[in-house]
Amino acid sequence: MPNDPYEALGLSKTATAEDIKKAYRKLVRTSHPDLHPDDASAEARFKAIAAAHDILKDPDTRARFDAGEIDGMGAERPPRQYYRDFAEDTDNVYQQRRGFGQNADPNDIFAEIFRNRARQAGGDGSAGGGFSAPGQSLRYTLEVPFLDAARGAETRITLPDGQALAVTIPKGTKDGQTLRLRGKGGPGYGGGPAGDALITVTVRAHPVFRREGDDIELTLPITIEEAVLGGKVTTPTIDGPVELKIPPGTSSGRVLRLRGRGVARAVSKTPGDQKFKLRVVLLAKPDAALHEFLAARPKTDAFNPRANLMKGAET
Amino acid sequence: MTDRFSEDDVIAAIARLTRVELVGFIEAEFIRPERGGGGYVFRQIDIARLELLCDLSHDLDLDETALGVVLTLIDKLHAERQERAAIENALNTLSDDLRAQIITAMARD
Repeated sequence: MPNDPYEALGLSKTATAEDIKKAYRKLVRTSHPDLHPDDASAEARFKAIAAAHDILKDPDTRARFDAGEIDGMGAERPPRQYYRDFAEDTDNVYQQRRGFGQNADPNDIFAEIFRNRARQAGGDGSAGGGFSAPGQSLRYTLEVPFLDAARGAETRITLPDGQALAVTIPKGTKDGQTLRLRGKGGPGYGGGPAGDALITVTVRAHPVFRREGDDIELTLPITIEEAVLGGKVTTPTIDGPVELKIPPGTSSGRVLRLRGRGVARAVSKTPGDQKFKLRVVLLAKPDAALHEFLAARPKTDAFNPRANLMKGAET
Repeated sequence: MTDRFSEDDVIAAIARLTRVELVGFIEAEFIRPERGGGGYVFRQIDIARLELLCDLSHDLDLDETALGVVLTLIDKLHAERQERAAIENALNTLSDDLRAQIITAMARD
């Protein structure tokens, strides 16, 4: 223990009371044994710091030390016990949980243990004590255009160290999905393999297509003629335009389905469907002939689509 | 040496701790002494924990809110350390063969 309390706190003799407080606080943070339970030397450091602070915090004892009346050992503290010495007791009532929590990932726990072993054994790449462990996983995020995620694509991400990493986006990658690139993470310990790069994918929204699981949905505008008479229309899908048959007498809002034209994920047996939600679109000003025809039709109550609207839904 | 302490024992043992603070720490449930017939009964772990609370509140000026956060984290830290120690102990009892298998399984992940 240094005999000079100023030295122990890393201060000069001209330090103000505020300097002393600040230096002491900083050292408590880095040296308090209870905040650093794995640091065997923390207790000795903290003892020296606390003893030095005891002298310097009080202007009287500080003045006496400065005058040479007491020495740096003058304020030896009584021995005390630290919480960390009790914290691991099996009957510790402050223990947060016992045994293994539900959320503990055994992989993480094992990897951490072996990493620590490798470090303690020198961590210079030699397999200390026969142990080796994979390196740490490194996490990245990547925003992917909608169609690239649906159809699969190749892209590159630039890592913080300037290196580029080729990433294969598999067909049908979902928003929030994490891709694992083996061996592209941190270097291994003790001769162990490199860790993995974990890439969390955000899928950008598309102005036309929407994704529901493996199904793709889009709203397809049709004319009143196509709705009444039926017919073939050309519609986009994620794999390019296709012909879609509209049955005669199709209402707005009806959903047509092309099976197997949705997302084809490698892991699912059957691809999703392409769904078309039809929307009848009129010209803002119907042409005169149609207008006249509808106006000339006799009024009839034979068809009222609202007749049963509230049936069974009164409450 | 007894390992049970009364409230007065605790106040005497930790000179910088006031009775008001002690009551505050108990009310905030930072310290959970047993209740005996004649009042609170403290154990050694409670005294060590009170020393830590004094370091944090007096020396680092943490208020009750910050104290609660720090204490929760310290308790979690110790829980994690205990789990790790348990696993390390368990691993040390295994044969080299089994440990090698575990390492392989980890590498496969």
